[in-house]
Amino acid sequence: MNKKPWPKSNPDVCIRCAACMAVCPVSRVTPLFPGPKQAGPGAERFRKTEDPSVDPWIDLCIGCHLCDLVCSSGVPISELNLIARAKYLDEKGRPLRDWLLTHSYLFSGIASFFSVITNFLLKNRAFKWIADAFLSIDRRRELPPYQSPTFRQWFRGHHSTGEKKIAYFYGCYINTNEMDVGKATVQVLEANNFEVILPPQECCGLPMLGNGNFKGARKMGLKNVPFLLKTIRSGVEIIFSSTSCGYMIRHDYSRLLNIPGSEEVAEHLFDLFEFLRNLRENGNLNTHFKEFPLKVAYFAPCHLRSLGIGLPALDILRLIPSLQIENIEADCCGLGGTFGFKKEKYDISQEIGKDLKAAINRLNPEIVLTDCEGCRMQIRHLTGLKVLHPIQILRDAWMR
Amino acid sequence: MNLKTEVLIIGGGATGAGIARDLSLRRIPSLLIEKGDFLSGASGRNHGLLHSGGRYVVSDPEAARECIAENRILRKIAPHCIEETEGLFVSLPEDGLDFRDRFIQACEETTLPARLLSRDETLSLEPGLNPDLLSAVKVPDGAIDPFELVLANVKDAEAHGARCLLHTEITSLLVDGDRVKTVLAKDLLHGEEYLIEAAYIINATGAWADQLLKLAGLRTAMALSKGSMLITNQRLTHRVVNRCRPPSDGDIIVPNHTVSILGTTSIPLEDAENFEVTHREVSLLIRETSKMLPAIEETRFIRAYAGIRPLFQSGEKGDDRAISRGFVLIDHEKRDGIRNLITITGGKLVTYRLMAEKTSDLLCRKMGIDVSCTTHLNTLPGAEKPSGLKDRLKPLGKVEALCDCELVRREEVEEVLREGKLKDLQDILHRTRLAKGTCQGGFCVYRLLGMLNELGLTEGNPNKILKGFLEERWKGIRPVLWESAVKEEELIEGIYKGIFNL
Repeated sequence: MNKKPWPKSNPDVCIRCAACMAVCPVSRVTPLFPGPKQAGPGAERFRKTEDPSVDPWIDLCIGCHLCDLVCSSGVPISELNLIARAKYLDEKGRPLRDWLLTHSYLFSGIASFFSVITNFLLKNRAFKWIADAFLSIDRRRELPPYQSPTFRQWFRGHHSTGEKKIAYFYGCYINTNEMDVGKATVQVLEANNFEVILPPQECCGLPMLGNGNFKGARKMGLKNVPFLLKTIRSGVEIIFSSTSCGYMIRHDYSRLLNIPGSEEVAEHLFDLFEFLRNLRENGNLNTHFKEFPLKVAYFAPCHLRSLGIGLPALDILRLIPSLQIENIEADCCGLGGTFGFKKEKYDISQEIGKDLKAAINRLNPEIVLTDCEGCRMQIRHLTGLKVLHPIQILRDAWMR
Repeated sequence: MNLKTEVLIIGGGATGAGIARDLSLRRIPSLLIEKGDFLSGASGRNHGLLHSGGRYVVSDPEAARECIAENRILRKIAPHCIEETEGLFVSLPEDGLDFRDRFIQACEETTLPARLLSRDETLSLEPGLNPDLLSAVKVPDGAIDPFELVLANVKDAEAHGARCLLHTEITSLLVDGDRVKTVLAKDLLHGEEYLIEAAYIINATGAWADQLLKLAGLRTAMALSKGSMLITNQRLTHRVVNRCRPPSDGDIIVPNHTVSILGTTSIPLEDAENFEVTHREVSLLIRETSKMLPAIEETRFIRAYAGIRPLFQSGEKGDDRAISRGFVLIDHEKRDGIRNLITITGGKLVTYRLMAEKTSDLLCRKMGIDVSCTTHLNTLPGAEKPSGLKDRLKPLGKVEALCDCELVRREEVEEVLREGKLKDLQDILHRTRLAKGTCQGGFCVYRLLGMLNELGLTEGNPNKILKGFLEERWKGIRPVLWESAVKEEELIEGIYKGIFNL
């Protein structure tokens, strides 16, 4: 008889080879997490939907997707983990802390408006002690300061012009905490003759999804996709500068959250440097760079690697004359979005970061570059160095 | 070496172990001899079905009555070996409803609790079942772990004075007049020979019954039948699923721990030692069982195996009229004039206790003593200990798993080793779930050998042991090797050949 092929999403296709065990940043540093092979396809054989979860260790999956990336059989390991984690957290209940960490978009506007007070509090030792004691947000972790005006407010007063239109999904963090990245993005796109528009947008929902809150994440996706669909259907493509937001919209919206229209959006959504690299390949990139003698190191975030587009920022930055740029050979910074802020996970997060820190120390750069805000926070925390988004360097290297 | 015992039990399957326990509780000394490990025959090679009796209720109500009675007793005395899953007898359109109506009628007559479920009720319980099904009848089937059950019987028997010798084969039965006077046996691992004097001898060798009797110049009218089964990588249903039609090939799916077992076939066999699962059987089992559960067509299998049932011509029903066709108890005194020899064979795992009780009763009558059976009243050792899949999953992250597929902890294996008496690798594998998962020991058995070596427990040449294991493993895997299982095999082969230079 003809044997039917096994479905690819099924843990049945796991061949137990343990390639994922070799890349998992968490199981490398702690025995508390059994590693992707065990936590994903292995444990699936023991889980029954009708039974309560008994695997609290599943909450230690940092969600980096490196396991999915290396799996020779295409098992979506981190998805299996996320689904199991969601079930565990749904049953156990989530602390107020997790709600706060994943709903910062609700109060970030006010936080920015009162940024002087907010930032005083966020740096205040007593405040951090309280956050540590009552919310289990680790006091050793710096809380990112808020900026005023926000990126959106700045853009309102900015008049963007260009021959073609491009839409920008900037994400929460750029809006209220690192608005210069947004500014640099707009400036680079304008230098390439694009008029930048900002489609209406909300938090992409990744923090919620990363905390196993499928319902909340889906709600955000359902809000965003219609705005983005409207944009692309008017013939305008969309770029993102945060690889995490980008991965969420391009991959998780359709695959995990089943949001109608998300596949169509994904086809027209590009990483900022992926977009610039396309321009360059078509001979349309403005490459009037000045000599830029600086020693920098570039770190590729996990979510960028999972996008499977290579390292476009590195490809573009290498066009800048005299810029000394090295790729940092290390996996996962260890922050994992909200993961590293949690008191019970802080030590694991730091331990994971050790390799990255050592790799940076070996390169001894003046500035570190990376596309993800989480990685930037973590690298600042680990090394004390100046850490920027690569677009900021690209802007600065332009001849004016 | 000379050994003396009141009763010599030959065969370490469920029946032999059950008899050892029964006799020990009646304070009758016994010695059990087994040529392999416990459960090396059919006891370790079945579905692990805790029969409700449903399978026999139409064709053999007497056997069904025995099953349901024993089913109830086992739930009480061996709760740790049983998963109370329930069972469904599913009617498909091609089966019609005539058999189902006879089935329900027969259940009523045998007092087997059965409840008719509508199509929708059935699918809400087991959403994976064929949506075209007509109805299902729910019965108290369950899953039973034969290894735990038999080893618990052994443990209880030993605690009450019984002795066991494993890896020891009977080489001759010396008949003197109307008695088997002495028995010769040989330790198969070390070659030591035993001369055993026993007042009574019980032949509980199952499919090997004739082979043993031949040593005394006797035989029964026994035929052998091979039944093949397939193991899936994941557990597919919560309940036992049977086809509601006269028993036939590929009509049952039994959940067991992390896996499901699909059964079975029935093929006449000449030789009890050399047999394998054929390609035709694999296809037949998949084709038939997937009619009940379509997902089987796309599921991964991790092993195929076969057990041998001893079958008896209808003329040979043993001497005891009280005994149904389910099993055969032969008093060789009445049949062949040998006063101290009894053969017990046939039957099912679920009736092992009853078989042991009837055998021990016959023995007591022959010995002229009057002690009654208590095996149905006393729980087996381990009954208080909880067990379940979640208990394996939970400690992950705190402890080292030696076998990553079945999450067998290192300590678990160390505990088994501490209990001692283990002579080969297979003995360890019988006592834990090690190597029973996806990779079938491909990745964990070398870890186990390393551990045995560390503890100084390896007897013989580890390379030879590993080769023996791999050959046996290959036999089970080869029939179900396609899709990504092939990749995994290549990887494992690469490790053994390329890295270990085997």
